[in-house]
Amino acid sequence: MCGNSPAANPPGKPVEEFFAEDMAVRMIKTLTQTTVGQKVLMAVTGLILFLFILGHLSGNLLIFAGREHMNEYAHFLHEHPKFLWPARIVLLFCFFVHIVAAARLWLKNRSAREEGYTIYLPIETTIAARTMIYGGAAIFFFLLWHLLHLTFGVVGPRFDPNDVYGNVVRGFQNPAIAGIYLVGVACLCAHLYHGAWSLLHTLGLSAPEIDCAKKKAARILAVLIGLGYASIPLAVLTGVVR
Amino acid sequence: MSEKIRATAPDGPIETRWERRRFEYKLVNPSNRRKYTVIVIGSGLAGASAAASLGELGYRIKVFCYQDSARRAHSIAAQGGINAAKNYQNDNDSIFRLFYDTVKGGDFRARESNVYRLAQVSNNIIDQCVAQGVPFAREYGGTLANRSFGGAQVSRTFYARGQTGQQLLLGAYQALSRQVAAGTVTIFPRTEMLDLVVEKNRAVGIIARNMITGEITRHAGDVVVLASGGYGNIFFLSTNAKGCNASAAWRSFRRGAFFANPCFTQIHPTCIPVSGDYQSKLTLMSESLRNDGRVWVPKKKGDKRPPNEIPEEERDYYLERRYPAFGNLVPRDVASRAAKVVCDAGHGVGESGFGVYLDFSEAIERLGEETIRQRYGNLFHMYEKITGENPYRTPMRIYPAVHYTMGGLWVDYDLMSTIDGLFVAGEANFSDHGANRLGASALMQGLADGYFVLPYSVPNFLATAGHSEATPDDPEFLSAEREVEDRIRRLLSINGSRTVDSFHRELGMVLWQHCGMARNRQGLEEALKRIPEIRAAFWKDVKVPGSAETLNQALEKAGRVADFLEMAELLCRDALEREESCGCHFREEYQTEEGECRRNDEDFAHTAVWEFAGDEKPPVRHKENLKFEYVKPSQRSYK
Amino acid sequence: MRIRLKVWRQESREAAGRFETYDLDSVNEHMSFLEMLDVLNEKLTLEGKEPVAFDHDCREGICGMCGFLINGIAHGPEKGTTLCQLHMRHFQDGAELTLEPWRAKAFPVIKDLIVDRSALDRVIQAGGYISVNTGSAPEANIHPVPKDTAEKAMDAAACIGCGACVAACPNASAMLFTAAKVSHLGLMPQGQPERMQRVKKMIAAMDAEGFGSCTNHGECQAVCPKEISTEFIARLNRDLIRSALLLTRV
Repeated sequence: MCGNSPAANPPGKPVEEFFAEDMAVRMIKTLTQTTVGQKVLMAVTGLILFLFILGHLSGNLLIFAGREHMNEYAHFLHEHPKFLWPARIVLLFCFFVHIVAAARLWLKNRSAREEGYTIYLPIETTIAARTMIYGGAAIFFFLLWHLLHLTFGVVGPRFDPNDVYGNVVRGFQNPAIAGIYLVGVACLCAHLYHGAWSLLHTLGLSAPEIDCAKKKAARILAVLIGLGYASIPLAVLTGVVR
Repeated sequence: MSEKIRATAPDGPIETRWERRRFEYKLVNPSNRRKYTVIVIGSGLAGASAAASLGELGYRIKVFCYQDSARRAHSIAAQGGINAAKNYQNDNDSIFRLFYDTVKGGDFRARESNVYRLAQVSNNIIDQCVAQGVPFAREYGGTLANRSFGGAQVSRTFYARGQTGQQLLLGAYQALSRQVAAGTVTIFPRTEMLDLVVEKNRAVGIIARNMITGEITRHAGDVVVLASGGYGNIFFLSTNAKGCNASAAWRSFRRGAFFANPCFTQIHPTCIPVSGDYQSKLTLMSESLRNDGRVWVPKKKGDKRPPNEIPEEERDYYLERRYPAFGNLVPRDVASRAAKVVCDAGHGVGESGFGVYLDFSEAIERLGEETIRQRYGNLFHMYEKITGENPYRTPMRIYPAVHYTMGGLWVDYDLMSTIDGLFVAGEANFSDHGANRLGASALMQGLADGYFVLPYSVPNFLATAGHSEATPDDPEFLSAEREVEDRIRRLLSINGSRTVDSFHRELGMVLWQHCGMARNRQGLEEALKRIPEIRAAFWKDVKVPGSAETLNQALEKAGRVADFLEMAELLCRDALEREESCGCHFREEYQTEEGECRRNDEDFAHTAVWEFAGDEKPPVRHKENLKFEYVKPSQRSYK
Repeated sequence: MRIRLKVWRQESREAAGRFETYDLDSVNEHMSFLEMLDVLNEKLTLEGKEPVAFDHDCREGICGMCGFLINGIAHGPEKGTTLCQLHMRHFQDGAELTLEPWRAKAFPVIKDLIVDRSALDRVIQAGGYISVNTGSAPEANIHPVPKDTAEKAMDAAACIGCGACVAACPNASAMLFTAAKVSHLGLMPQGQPERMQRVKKMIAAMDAEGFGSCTNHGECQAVCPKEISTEFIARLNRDLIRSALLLTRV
């Protein structure tokens, strides 16, 4: 063959020149078109959702304060749609972005290794990390169920929009429903553990000196949140809350 | 002396020679540069830096390397450092001192003009590498750190932990990658040059084999730069990478490039000894270990007791005994030979008896284990990984191993061989180290050639000689291609009963025994008898499995070993004809009463330059006489 | 010692692969893993079979050429070690070892245990350098570099480009490789002018090559023969975020 034919190193696929744009365009392109940008989106939305989960938990724990407090709190939220709806929109948006980015990355990651290993022995990773996408999907369906159950009152026992406390207690007195909640909370717990420290890493917060503490803190936080949420159906099932 | 051997070094004051030569060089108009194609063989320090620099100037470059990436060339394995005459430590270093040390260290067998230029550009190399982001070691104030290396009395060695070669190579590789992105350089990885194409004594291209598909390709160029490294692997066991080979250089020799000083091979004193006949390569331990380690063997022959049970008075610290002034820090060639002497006398340690102890127990006692760990921790770790022995507890075992080849294709001051348009750079040429290379000078030479000599001398050639009119369809290309294909077919068709490695091992044993650390007439004559026998057996009985049309590592190896089998003879012939001892070339007949090298400046102050004369006739030996105007030859003494 | 090997054999890029089993009876425990394969190949050659193709070159752990999985672990069970530095004494007599090539879409198998890693070269070509022409460098000591910074840059620069990080990553991501170069150059003062562009160009190239994304499993760091820290991945993330948020045009 003659020598001046096809080059041995075809210049890789063209690198997009999106760094010359102005800031807004550049930012959006970075966040939506690079894997790292999408990870950053997931981290930021994940952080907001994490904060919501903390807030939601603190509201839910009012159940231990009794029917009046709980219902009063729910009532308060409904009386202030100026706060409630923006918050709901932000959360919906975060869910949407988090899920779309996760799905896109998951597809890309799956296609990055078409033929898998016959034997593959992970050393460092955790079950939580390896099941993020499945745990995430489970949480998504759990969330739908949760909304249908306690927001829209479509599934489960008799629903009274003015008695949140009663709805919860009636629901959890059914062991099947409580079981669904406990499984959902377990998924959430694992998801939060990997998500919490991982999002810090993705946002650039890492150093060998703090990484260990970071993981420990994430574990403690995830377990506390899990216990907090799980305490409610357990309390109802065991009759502590009636 | 052959017509073709013109060193073309300018005369006059040595300080201004390079500057004057550069001014004489003709230039190529920037808009014409892209019309010239430069073929570069090898992507190590010399090849990558030359290709990147010429690419920056605007020439079209094709780089060929046998590895899967240009980043893997064996320059990457250099540990110690790179010398430069910066005098940052204010210890009275200077360009002249670096020049002087290099000429003297080379035992007065190098060309003064070249060495002086090397010392001059050494400083630019450091500037260039720092600008590329090479993470050299730093002082607390942020300035560059230096260490003393290889017995030098000044601290002029720049380093990046024990991975200086890696970092310098990655710097050059990154510069090369930038040119690939800019479109001036095309890299052909996993592609091996199998022949040089010459028309009217001008190098016009190469024949290469795609090592994945087996396809043979013809590449035409206006200039060919060989930066294909040394031939240390001819010994089978060496510290070179497994793939290192001399085929590009040897094929060029057969096409008319002269070969200089092939017998100058450096044996490094501190390597991990051979542990069994399955051994595939030797691992170097940095020379710096000798700063704190004491070398000894048992006084009693064949003493098989574990080292810790041999009492102090029954140990022979032979370097300290023989060289009281320098002790364990004598130069590489001296240390290597001394180890051979004690082992040959039956005092060697380890299973094979070819090893000496390098003992840190005294240093650990004096400085504490922690200090030793800080200084050599990574080396100790590497030693333990390979041998499974803990050098903090039991002495290391070391033995010399082939490490570097000072000999190479002959080049003039412009680094051009006796074939017009064939330039040779780095370890592949012979130019700067004489009969012995100093520590931390190989990296310096590779980068000097690539960054600061070839980018001026190659354009001068192009401006003078103009375009090569050759095309890949010329009869010379077609016949060279046919020869390559025939050879491959022949190798595959023998289908004998021995593997390629078994021949390579056998050749290596013969060379190591007769043309290694110490040589003598009888042994060399014996080797010259044995080598053709091995070669004949190879061509009759080798077994190369697989086919030519696919990735075939055995076939690649077979071609290289076939070339080594031819080259080995030249090595021994050169060693035989050089009837003196100098640097790494130690002829037992020519030694002082104390067993040191005895040079013969009257008859051998020259470079031996060999010309290929056909397969039937012995090669012709020419001379390039060496003039020493600035450094007066003297006897090296380390007593 | 006796060793049973199950080796992935694949004729070419297009061919289908399969495992073949080989038994070796007299393996010396001081052999390196690759020397053990040399012995196997000598045996196969003399039996008239085709030897196992595997990449290797320097055999001292620095060129980055060797690499495959032994029983599911890239570069084998020893930490911080390339295959060529792994010795048989770390295995039990009678061990059964499965050898499988790096698997990733960006690393197609060429033959047996050899894969094509040129994607990593293209990531570097996208921006893993400092644009300084030969000859235009200023005096070396003009930019002081704090010792700690130089050390950290060296930690990142130690990468040998073997691709184990990609092989071990559940997502076949090349983030550790890319991050090591981004961090090495981004830490040095010489690398500052192109820092913001570099990170974007290299990430874009990495994505285009078909590598996956980082989901912080940490497998890359665990198998890296040079033990390069995932801290550098966080550093790359930081640089990317910063480059996206810069007010000026870059």
